[in-house]
Amino acid sequence: MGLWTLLKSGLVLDIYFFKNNRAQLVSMFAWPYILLALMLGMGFLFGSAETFKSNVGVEADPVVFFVASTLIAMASLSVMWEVGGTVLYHRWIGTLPYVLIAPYRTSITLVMSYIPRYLLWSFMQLSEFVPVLIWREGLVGGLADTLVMGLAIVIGMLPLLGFAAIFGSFLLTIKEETNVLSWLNPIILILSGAFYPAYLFPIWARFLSMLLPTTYTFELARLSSLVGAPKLAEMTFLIAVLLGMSFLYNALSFTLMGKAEKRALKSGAV
Amino acid sequence: MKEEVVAAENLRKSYETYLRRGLFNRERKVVEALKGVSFRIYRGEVFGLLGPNGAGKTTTVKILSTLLLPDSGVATVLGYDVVKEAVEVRRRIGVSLTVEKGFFWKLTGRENLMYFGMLYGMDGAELKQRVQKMLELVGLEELGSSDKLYEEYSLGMKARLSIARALLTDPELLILDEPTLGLDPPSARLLRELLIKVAHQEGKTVLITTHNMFEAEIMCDRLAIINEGTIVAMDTVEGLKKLVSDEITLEMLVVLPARVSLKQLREEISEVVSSRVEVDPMEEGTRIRVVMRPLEKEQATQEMLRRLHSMGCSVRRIEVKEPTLEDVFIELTGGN
Amino acid sequence: MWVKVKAVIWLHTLRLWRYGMSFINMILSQVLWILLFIMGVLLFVPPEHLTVALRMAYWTIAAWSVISSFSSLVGGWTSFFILMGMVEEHLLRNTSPFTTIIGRVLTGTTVSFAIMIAMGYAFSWIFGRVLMTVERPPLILMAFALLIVESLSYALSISATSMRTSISEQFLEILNFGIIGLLIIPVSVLPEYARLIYLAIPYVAPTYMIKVSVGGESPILMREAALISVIESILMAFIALRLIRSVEEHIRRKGVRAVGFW
Repeated sequence: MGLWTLLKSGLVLDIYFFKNNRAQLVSMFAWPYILLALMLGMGFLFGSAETFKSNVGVEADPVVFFVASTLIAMASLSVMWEVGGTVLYHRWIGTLPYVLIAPYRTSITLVMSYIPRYLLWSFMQLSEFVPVLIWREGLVGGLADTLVMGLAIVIGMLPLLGFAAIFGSFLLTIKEETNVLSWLNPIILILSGAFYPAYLFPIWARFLSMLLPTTYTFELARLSSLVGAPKLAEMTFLIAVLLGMSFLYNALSFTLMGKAEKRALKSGAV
Repeated sequence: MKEEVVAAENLRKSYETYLRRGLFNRERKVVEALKGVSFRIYRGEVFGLLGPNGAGKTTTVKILSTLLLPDSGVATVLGYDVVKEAVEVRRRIGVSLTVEKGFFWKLTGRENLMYFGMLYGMDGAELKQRVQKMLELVGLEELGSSDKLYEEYSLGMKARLSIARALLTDPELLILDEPTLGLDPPSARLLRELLIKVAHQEGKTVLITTHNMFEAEIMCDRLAIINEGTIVAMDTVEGLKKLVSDEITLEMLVVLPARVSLKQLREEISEVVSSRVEVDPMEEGTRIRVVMRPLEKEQATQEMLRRLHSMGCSVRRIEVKEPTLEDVFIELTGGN
Repeated sequence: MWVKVKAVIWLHTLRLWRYGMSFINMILSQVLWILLFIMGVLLFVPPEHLTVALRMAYWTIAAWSVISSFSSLVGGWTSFFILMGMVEEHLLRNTSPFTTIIGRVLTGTTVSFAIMIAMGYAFSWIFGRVLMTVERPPLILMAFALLIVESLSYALSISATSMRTSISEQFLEILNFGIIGLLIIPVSVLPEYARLIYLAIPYVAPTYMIKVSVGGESPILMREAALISVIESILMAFIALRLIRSVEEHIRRKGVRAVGFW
């Protein structure tokens, strides 16, 4: 009952937000296409699809590749900002004390109230790309791609929630101006191979990328862009890694958030 | 002849607002904030504008501060029209619109005052000295807070800095919108005393808006009560109280010597005052309750005490009950 | 008047220093976002064209960073300025609030040039190419000066409009980002009849001049671009000033309301 109301609270808050701010709703739909159009437009202006395939080393459709990349980048950013950065946001608008006094662990409050929002908006963004996917891969191929990307959205969310909550707990204890998320987010995306596959990185960067859950989410979503390659075995492997990471990062965030909360309450940072 | 500092004549102001109706529709609504407000404020006076939320206090203050144009009506400050001669008016006023903002967070109190001083055209040693003087005057120097960042200020410190800025250019008229709102008693008291001092000793004129009845009563020489955009009463505190009730109740508890009867006592007191007298025996003595007119108060009380003394009565307790400013406020604003 | 100018410069220098960490965060994050984006684009580029592509991308993004920084740091600051209760406090001192907002040109210029330098070093380090060399220094200085005037005028127009009616911050962001796509197009790829029309779009002509000054584009339309840039800058500045005057009037009639951005 308690967790259900938390889930509902997140959804209701979001609906109110968008009801009163329709521009945000429109921009949410526009952003993925703008990003995709710019990336592909500039790419084709300076080069070609053939060079792309030779650079990534696999037979992949660049459009589907970047649809998957854009979608997961948007979803990952959303989780990082909304779960990790929400602590800062609440502090700015003065609602943090009221969030902290909710009768649940803070990490649970932050995560649970966010889940409906994530699912709703990520799937809405996925659905706006369905016509593009069908255009590139035909009806069956397009729908199969949609399914793979949808799976990546759901499975990829699980470890990322814990991962983002760890950053949230860190932000709870530091000063507002030190908004590390603003530069940590692009670093995480770069290292996860958001638009440039991680397997093309130097070794040290590849090692770091292995620790990030987003790396596997990008790979899972981008399996859809591979032309004619067998996907099931690789997919199973990536899902297993993501589930393992979910357990690890969520357990860690649960402990760290509790500690950070205590520290913040002690130091008066709330 | 009292010198007029502020003259407002029939000020009117309306705002347009929109109410959301469903997802795409909205309904236009006109709110009349001022419906013909007129008043005068004289030099050296502390004038209070008292009214419930949304009564039109801030609108009036903003019009007089040249920050808002009235739809109609005329207002002058020191003879300058607030609409046509706004620049001249601004040179002569000090304003505090809110105590909790209006400063740069990452500047210290002193740096904020230096900046705003420069905007007024002050500079160099003159500005530095004036800023120092103001910081001392409002007690920020004493608190050691002049060189702290504004973001570290308590509400009380913010309020003090706001008054310091209002006084920075040595203005003839101070316009303060709820200057003590939310302050702790020591800070509120300091600001009140400061404002009374600048008005009564330095001859400055002060216009304040407030919700605080106690503050209005002890600070203001005259008060206007504004409700729903109209001034419903304007007078001194005493004058306003008379609007609600023309009577004062005096209650005394006395111990009578055995030779004095209740009847004798009633007759004796009735000779002093024109109105009703009640005498009731109580456990701890006799209670005398007299309802009289305000004008009679002093003379009649003295006479009663003299007669009681000559009858050999000892007075244990004496209490005067008169309408409070809050009674006046509630009565005139309809408990709004 | 000089004292007021001094006050505004002093204020913004002080704030730039006090908010140092925030600005460093901003510069760092901007460079990283650009890098993320550029890495994706570079997947399409054959190795032999990498230097030219990087050079074009770098200088286009450098021009864009001026436009974007001014829009967010000058125009976008208005919301905060209103929230702090500063509009009234400046009017009361016979000072237009826009005087202080214009002062943010100092912040905008510092941040955008810091982004440019940091990005230049980051690109050179990662891709092993030298990108920051300029063939015609006076031309690039003139082009950036004109770009700053255009960007400032645009930012002030947004700022003024946001005091009168609410502006969607999301749309502004989309517009800001979309401008990169417009600026990156080389004039030479367009049909001849469309070239002048393209240059007449705000920001395009000064950006073309920047690209010419670093050898990224041929100078076939230099004279036209210079003329268009000057006329456009004057026109945009004029529109901004008219808007400011009209908004100041509006504020006195309707009062300052915390409209800003939403």
